[in-house]
Amino acid sequence: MNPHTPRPRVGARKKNLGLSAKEYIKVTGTIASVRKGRHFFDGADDDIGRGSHVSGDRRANGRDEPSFIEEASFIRAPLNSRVSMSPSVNNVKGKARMDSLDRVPIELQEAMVLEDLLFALVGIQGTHITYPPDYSPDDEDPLHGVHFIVNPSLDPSLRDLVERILPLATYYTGITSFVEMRSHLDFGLVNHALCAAIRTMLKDYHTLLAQLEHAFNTSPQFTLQKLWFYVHPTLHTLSLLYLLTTELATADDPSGSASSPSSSESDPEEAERNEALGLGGAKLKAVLKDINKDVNESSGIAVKGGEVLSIIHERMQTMSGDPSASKLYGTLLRSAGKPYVDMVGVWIRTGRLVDPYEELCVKESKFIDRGTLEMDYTDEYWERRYTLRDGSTPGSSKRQQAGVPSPRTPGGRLPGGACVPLPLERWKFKILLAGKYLNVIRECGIEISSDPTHPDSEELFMDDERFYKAIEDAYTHANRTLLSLLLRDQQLIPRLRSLKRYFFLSQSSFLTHLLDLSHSELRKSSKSASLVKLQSLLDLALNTDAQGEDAMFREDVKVTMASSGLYDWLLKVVNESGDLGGGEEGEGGMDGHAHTGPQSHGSHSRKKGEDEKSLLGETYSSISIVELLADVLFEAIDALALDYGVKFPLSLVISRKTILRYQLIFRFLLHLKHVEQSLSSMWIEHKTAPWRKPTRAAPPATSRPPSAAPPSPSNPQSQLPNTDWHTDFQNWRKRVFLLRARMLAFVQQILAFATFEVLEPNWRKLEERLNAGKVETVDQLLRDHVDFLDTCLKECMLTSSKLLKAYSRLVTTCSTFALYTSTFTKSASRALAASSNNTTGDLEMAKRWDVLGKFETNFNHWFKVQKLNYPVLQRLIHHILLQVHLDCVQFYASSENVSLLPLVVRLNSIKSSA
Amino acid sequence: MPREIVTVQLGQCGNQMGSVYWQRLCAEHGINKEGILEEWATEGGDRKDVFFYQADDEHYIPRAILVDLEPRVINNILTSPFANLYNPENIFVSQDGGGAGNNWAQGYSAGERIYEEVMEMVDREAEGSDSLEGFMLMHSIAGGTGSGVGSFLLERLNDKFPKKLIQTYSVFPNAQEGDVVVQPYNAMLTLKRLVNHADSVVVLDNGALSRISADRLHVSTPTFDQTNQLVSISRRSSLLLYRQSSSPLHSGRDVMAASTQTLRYPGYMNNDLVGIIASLIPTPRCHFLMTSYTPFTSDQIDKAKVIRRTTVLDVMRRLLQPKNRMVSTTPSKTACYISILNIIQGDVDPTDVHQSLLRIRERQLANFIPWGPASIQVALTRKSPYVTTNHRVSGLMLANHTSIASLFKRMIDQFDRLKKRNAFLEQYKKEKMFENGLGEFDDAKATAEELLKEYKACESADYITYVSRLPHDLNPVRANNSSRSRCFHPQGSSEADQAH
Repeated sequence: MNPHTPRPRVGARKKNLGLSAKEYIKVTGTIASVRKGRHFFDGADDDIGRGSHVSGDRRANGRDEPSFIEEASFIRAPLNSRVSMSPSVNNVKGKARMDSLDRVPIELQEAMVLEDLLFALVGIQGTHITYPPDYSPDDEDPLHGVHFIVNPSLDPSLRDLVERILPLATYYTGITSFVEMRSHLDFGLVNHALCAAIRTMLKDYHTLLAQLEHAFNTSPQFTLQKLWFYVHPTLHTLSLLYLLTTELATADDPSGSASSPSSSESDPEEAERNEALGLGGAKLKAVLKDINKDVNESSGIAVKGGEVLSIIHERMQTMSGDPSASKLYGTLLRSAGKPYVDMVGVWIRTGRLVDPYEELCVKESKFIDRGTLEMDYTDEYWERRYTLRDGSTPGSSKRQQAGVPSPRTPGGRLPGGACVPLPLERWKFKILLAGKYLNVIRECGIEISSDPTHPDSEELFMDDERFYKAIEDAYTHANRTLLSLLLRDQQLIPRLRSLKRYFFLSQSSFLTHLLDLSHSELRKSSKSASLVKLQSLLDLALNTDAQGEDAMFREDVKVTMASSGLYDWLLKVVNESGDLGGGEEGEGGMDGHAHTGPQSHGSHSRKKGEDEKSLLGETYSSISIVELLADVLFEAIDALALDYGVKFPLSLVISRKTILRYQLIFRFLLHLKHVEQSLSSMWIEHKTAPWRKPTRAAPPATSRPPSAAPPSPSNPQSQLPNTDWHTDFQNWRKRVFLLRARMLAFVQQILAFATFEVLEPNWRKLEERLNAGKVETVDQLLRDHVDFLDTCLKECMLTSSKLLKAYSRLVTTCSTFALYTSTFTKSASRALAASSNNTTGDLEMAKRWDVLGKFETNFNHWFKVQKLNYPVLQRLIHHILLQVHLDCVQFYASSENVSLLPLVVRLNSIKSSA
Repeated sequence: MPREIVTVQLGQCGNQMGSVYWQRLCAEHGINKEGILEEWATEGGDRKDVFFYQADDEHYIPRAILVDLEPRVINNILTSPFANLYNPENIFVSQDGGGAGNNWAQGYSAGERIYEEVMEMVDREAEGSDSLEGFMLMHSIAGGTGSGVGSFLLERLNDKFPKKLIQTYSVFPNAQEGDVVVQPYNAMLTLKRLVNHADSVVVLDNGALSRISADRLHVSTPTFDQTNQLVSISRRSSLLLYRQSSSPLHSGRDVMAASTQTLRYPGYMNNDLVGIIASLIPTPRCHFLMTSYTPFTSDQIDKAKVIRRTTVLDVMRRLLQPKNRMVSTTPSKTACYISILNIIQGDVDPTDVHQSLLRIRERQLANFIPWGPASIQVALTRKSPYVTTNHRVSGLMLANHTSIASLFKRMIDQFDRLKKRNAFLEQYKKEKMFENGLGEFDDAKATAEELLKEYKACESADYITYVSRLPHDLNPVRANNSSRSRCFHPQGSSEADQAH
């Protein structure tokens, strides 16, 4: 049907309501011209439509099509068409008539003006009270209302009175156009409710006017004075309303021009999303901004939701001296807040966010779902899925910037839903958390039983004490429910205990077994080692002889291979962010560091290296060769790590972020264990014949009288004449033993320190807190967990680049030394063979020297290695001692050093005889 | 499970020790007399597989091999309630049943004879385990079987399994009670094998054990039974295995149980035998460990005893007291510890341990060798949940102390006294080994003397010298470091004290 064809366009036009009047006219004009063209194609089958079309064509350029106007105005407000669409026509007429009041008698003038006034009060111009001459609906903002002007020839006494009444007309027109504009879909439920409330008030006003008109028509006594008398109280009310509407109308745009929020709606949302994802770089943002600028210059968010409420509330506060004003605003606030309160109610009771117009202070980022927990290192799900629109986060002063709209230029209020109504400001975190917790529960597939003590049906208002009690109750309820879900239903504590077992090796026998089983596999390079095989070996190691709690969750443990060595990586991280726990960038993932890491690391170590070179001379360069070798031979043992998979609600607590920390500690311990094991196997090797067999030829070798002069290690050359081969050999053996013993002691002490003095006490603290119910909120729980891990990392010396560097070099040296086991044994047995040759055949002196010479080379070679070892060992201890010593003096209270003191005491024992 | 340990019990004494040891283990792991896990034993956290394996019907079988040349003790075990615990295939009793006649040589040659059969058992056990860690040998070195067969087995085991640990729990004879006349010979000959072929020897001194039993357990006047019990360890036992209330056997049992506690109740550290003893034994020959244990548990005497406060510090201090040592030594002034490992059982706050270590260090309760890493290592382990004790904390000290040399000195003296007179040598000459002369005796003595010297040498600072082959010395930095860190040390610890 042809007459109905344009109708869909009506919808389109409605959407464009926010366009400025000029654009509006243009659009309608275009529609009209299009229709004009169509007219020729369409047959005669639409008789009814034609008439209007023709008439429309005729007036197409001058004014709008009546059928459209009627339609639109019918939707907006019934009287609207009369107000805004007729002026240009009437204007001319009015002007013509205006001059003719001069000689009219004053009674008549009053009557005429009264009649006009009654029109004007509903926004229609009369003959003597007209729109200003330069008035055009295109330029003026209808929200400001129409400033009628009175015929200047009117009697001054009357004019005075009329001008006192006329603001009412301005208010009325302003308010109606506000109601008409804000009733639109885009402005949200709060605005709708507000408009409804205002409309109810205007209805009273209409009733009043109707009564006045009746009085005017029937009673000759009805004078302008009377009108003023009746209208006067209403003037105050409407002025209050008008002030409110203008404030609301101008709040989003200081320049006063109506913005077009809908046109750019998708863009800021996408920008938000990009920003939340951390995608958009500065460039992208700039581009996006440009786009936004083109479309509209204001922030693009209409005044709605929380902002409306807070404006009303603000006004109520400022006008609190005026009882009628506060009553009026109170009523408005109540009714406008109703949808808001309902939304909050649904959110805090069920965890469902029903907020189609983005009015609530809580925001949901739909693209972050729990799937991201699998690979997300930043706790994004928990931190970002539901946020407050104003960007503040509970528990920390840090504000989140991404996705937060910029505040309005005047007054600095956040726009739209981001603005939290003042009475709710203190409660916003509880509102957020209550719903967030419930949401988690809902995502677990558990139906939320609403708190039985609070019937949903209860009517609540924002200024009602019960509303806040309801929030409080819902918050505690949600908190309790989620905590008990985690702790009891999901067995959080046994989970954490199993993490401690697998990652902190609190029962490390499985690891010993795993290392035994996968010995050959772990010696391969990390690339060629088979993950599948290792996994099956791990399963094997875990499956034997475990029962009860020990066996729990073992199927969740997986083997993975890290892509870089622990210490390298840690150093990079530490150098990059200064502190591992410092920022989320720090653990953003290995790839992030691969880009920026090496350079700074390289220069850093080079600088360091120079410092050390002066201390150690050439030893340092040899060490770096050892390190280099270790780098090339990146073995599977260095890359081995465990992973742990948990299902949804628990993955909030045991998130990737925490598992990463667990892995760091695990690899640290694993490496120590591995070195301990290789030193132990060296010990076993040292129990074999070449090492154990005494060389009899030199009985006084070891039996130097203890009463001999105290040794002076600083001047050793003078001590022994070095002639006795057996003494020499035995001394050499003992030196190997001692070095091994010291290395073993070092490794064991570090291990003991890390486990018994760092991990265990900290774990006990955490467990105690969890068991004693000291953790009251889920967020507290998460924080405690991360804090626990960070403390462990810090106290294990994994966060200080200085300690880390010295330590890693030392451990590397230890493991290298252990690798030389068989070489030493070979040289020892060769030496022994030589010695037996000696004692039996005393002829072959040349041969003896030859073999001895060979041994000497071996010995020297070994000694070079050994020589490397001592200073390094020394240095670490020295380093720690010195540093702790210094720091103790300077910053005694600094926690790091206090926690390291036990280690210092432990390590003191190893240095002993150096 | 990994790192299994096969126990070999030799001779009367060894089997008696083994018997009470397995009873204890069963109790601690909730395994009943038939080897079946009790229904209430669900607590977990323990590893039974180190010492047991499971048969097809799920009952636990000790990885134990029982060897004796005479049937009395083993028969006793086989008629006891625990008879079904052991694998019957692992029990070897000599056919002739004559024993070794308290003669090392006889035992040694018997060892050669029964070698095939015993080794078959050992092989079977070794193959039955995933990754065998080593052997635990229980014997006394005074008699014939334990010493002779033990010596032979030590040599062969070391030869056959060079990379496996051999730890022995050796009962050394009581100095005063010369109940076996040739005991000095036997002991000396065995000592040589212990030095050369064992990896670590836990010395259980019969004299000290009975002293502790009498002293600590308040058995002031040992009854006839108890005297018998005391002696039972050495040689002429009256076999009161299952009626004992307090005896050296129990002391030994507690020591063995406690020293394997960390293997059976795994914690952060010390979950394998090598990890424990490697740090205790820096040089291969000085591998004789002495033990202290406190407080002793006893099945009946507990009531009579005053239950004392047991804090970690108390336990650690008591462990260092000589009277709690299970070895009677006469320490010289220069005697010192080479290493100490304290195994603390029970629910202990790790921070207490650190405090206690500081206190002990402050008061210089333990002197250490001047040349090597020297500190008290502490292994924390859980108690068995199934055995209740009055004590919150109990502790075992494994220590490598140079005063053990006095024990060897005593043995050498006794040996010399006997050897001077060439007494009782006929029995030895009968055996093949001594047909060509008694060179073996001198060799053994030389070994013992050398060991003695080595321990003595350990006490001096230049035991391990930095001299001989240092071309251009270990640069001056090192010397500086050491002096500086020594200066720092008292400061460091005092500050640590303040910090806590």
